Amino acid sequence: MLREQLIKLSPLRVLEKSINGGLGPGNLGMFTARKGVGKTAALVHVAVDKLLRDEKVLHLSFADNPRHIEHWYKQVFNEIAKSYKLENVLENEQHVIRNRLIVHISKKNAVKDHIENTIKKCVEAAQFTPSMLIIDGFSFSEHSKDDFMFWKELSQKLSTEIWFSATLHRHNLEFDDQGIPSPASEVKDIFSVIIMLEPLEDYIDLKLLKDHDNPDIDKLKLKLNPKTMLIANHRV
Amino acid sequence: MTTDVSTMRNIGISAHIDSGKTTITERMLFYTQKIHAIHEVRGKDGAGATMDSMELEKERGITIASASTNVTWKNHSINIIDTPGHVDFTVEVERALRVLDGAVLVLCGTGGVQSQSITVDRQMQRYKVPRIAFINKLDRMGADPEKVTAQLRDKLGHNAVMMQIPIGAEADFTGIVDLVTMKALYFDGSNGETIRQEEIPEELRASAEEKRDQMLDNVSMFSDELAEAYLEDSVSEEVLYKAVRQATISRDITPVFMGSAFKNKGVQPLLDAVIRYLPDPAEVQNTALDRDNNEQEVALETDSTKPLVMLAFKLEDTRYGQLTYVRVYQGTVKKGGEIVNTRSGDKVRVGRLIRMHANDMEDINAAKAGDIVALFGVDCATGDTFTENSLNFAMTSMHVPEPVISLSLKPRDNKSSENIGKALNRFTKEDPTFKTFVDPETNESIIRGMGELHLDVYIERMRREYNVDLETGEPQVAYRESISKTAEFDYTHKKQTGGAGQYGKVSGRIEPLRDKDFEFISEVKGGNIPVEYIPSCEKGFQACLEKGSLIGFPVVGVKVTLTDGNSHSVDSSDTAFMHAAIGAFRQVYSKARPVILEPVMRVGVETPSEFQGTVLGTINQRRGTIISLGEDHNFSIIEAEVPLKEMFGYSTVIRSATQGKAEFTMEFSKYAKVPESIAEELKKEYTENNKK
Repeated sequence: MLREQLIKLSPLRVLEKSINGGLGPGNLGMFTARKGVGKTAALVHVAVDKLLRDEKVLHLSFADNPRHIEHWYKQVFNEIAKSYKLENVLENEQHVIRNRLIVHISKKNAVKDHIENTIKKCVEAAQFTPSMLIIDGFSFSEHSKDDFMFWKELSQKLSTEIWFSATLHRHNLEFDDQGIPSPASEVKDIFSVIIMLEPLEDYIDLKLLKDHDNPDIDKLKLKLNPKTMLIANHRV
Repeated sequence: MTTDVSTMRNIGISAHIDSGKTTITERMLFYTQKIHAIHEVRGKDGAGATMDSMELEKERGITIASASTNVTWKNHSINIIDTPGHVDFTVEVERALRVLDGAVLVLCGTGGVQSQSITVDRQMQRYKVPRIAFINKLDRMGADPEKVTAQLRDKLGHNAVMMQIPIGAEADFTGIVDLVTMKALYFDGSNGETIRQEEIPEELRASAEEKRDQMLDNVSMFSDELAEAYLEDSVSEEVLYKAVRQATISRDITPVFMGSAFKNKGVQPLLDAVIRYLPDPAEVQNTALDRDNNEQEVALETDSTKPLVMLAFKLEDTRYGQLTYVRVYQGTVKKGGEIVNTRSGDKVRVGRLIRMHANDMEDINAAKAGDIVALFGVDCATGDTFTENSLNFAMTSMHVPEPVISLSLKPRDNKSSENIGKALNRFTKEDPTFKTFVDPETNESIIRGMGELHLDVYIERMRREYNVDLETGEPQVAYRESISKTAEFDYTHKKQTGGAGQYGKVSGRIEPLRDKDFEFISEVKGGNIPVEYIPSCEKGFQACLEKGSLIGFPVVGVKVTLTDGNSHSVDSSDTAFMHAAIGAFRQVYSKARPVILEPVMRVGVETPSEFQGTVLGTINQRRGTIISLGEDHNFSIIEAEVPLKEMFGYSTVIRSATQGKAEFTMEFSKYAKVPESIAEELKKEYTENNKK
């Protein structure tokens, strides 16, 4: 299959349709779940989809060693290539690598000025203007609403969409009246899209909890395949 | 000298450039009384460290070839192999790791885990080598062993356990606290040769207790005996040593030691740690392949009474002849005994058997299982296995990276021409990643290696050691060709014009293959191609891969599936089908959208943050792709992928761009498609050269 066909058939088109055409520049989105369920895999799949469409993604990590993140991208890309029998694999892989930049910021440097300066350096010195930011390892429980407002303003300034992963507490899981769990519920006004990953017996269900300002939320009909760790269509 | 295998240790000292490995080894030789004076690597006394046995190494202050030496410490026989830290010389580190049982990972107390430490560690993981860490240079400004220990955890994923804490820091570094004995150690005498044990200074007591608790907490996860003793608050030194040893050998922990080799502090406890925590040869599982039994894996026993199995892992050409370093895995090798090279089948009589110091030799009569020694006058190649007649074993092959750069050599006179041959013959035997051949078209000698530095060093050695006067050409990149889509073939090779004819028809497809150079599958049914001719079809396809039609470089990444064909009862033959396959490949290659690939290097640059922008610029200008940016205090860590073609001369560029403050490492990453414009240039050049 050629790249163009793969993009058309990708389950992420289903995701986009369900959320008003996508997250969109200037907006924040999140995948939320308990530890180890597949948030990073889902985020990376979203990123790889963007990269294959020739758009640039900046993956900002406050946690992992950057080489582990590279490994994620390689795994996800290889799975996509295998599942869809992608042609010109070498070339497409180069595409992904060329359009992606991984930046690691240590936790103690996770302050607004430093973050903004780092991104600025990427744009100017590395000549890398991203249309999507992936943020991982940015703890929701350790940061305030104010900290997330900073990201919202940044996404508008840079005209990019920003995706986060939010880890749910193992115990004392609280949901608000919209079914959004904490700590995500505390910042839901700042986020445009919230998707929860719920492990079921054979697959991980993707549940759309917030779709911009849309009161009627679609059922996503998407799952995370636990073998391939790819987002896939889920036919009930 | 003891020969009990439990008192033997075979260790390597691996690390990053300039972390102090050679100084540490020099100190080890001194304290074990192998040498009588300490010479600094870049010392004022004009005599370089004993282990750096080549002029060039002494001059550049780097260690190039591995050297090995035997020392005795507290009744233990330790073979130490010193290994270089440059990425260009990974084969040296890989080779050493193949024959060692344990390693000391040396880290700089200020620089910590750097890009080469990551490469070296990856290699150690590949060969499952248990290791202890030594954080060196604690006398330097900014040295921080806790930070480095944390880096061992974060960057290399080790379960690093501090076994000591420093007394004082930087210029005030005076000794170490041993967290097992809970005593302070000071190193007296002009060379730190006398260890004085005292109570822990009061101001460090709390910190020592805390760190000891952390150590006990960690190690007790891997030892029930220790866990129980810890709970009962009755941990004896014996139980603790045993637990740490177990956990180190199983690679569950990396015990961390520290000191300053240059200031003569911490090396003797490091020697103690080598004995206490690293495995003896019998504690490491080694396997060989049984050539008589479909290369099935067989376990070797570190038993000197069993049949001999030994591996030649390093060759050195001295003026007395070739010195072959061997690791005896099983059995005993005796002077005067007869051994068989299982690769070549040659029988060899063992002349002199030597135990090696860096530049001195000690004649011995026999070497037993677990030992590392050298043989004189045995002609072989690195990686050859020797046994007694009864066994046809081969040790598993070592992982050797493919060369990525080549250079032409032109001698300026006849004497040089002769000497180049001698030099190249020697170097290629010593180093499997260094290859050479004569270009039949230009008659030039071409050398191939892992990077500019790799080739530069050999050229310099040719000039100095062999008096060669030569010119070098422009470095050439090892391109490859490949295909990017599936294409079908259907080809008949026919020559039936009287006399013995040839006939063979093949049909099938070729498709791109990742992670492998070539695969051939036959799906032919009903005997349409007689089974006996299928191997010839495969040979024919393989022959075509040696030189692609785009630019004459090898073709890689091709899967051939033979689906059908036809034969003639008289005119079909191996030759006919081989030609059919060749014809089919030539027919189908252009339909499979062939592409040109170039080697792409993984480049790691560590630079003061102020130069980050400049360094990024140098990479962008070289068709580089920035993979990641990291930070470490005031240092920026940049990982990029850059085509090898663009990396020539980069060391000069980065030096001047960063006032010499940045460091970079480079290793082969993969092959990637060249941009169209470059592909067109290469094709044009190839066509023009062919016309000449």
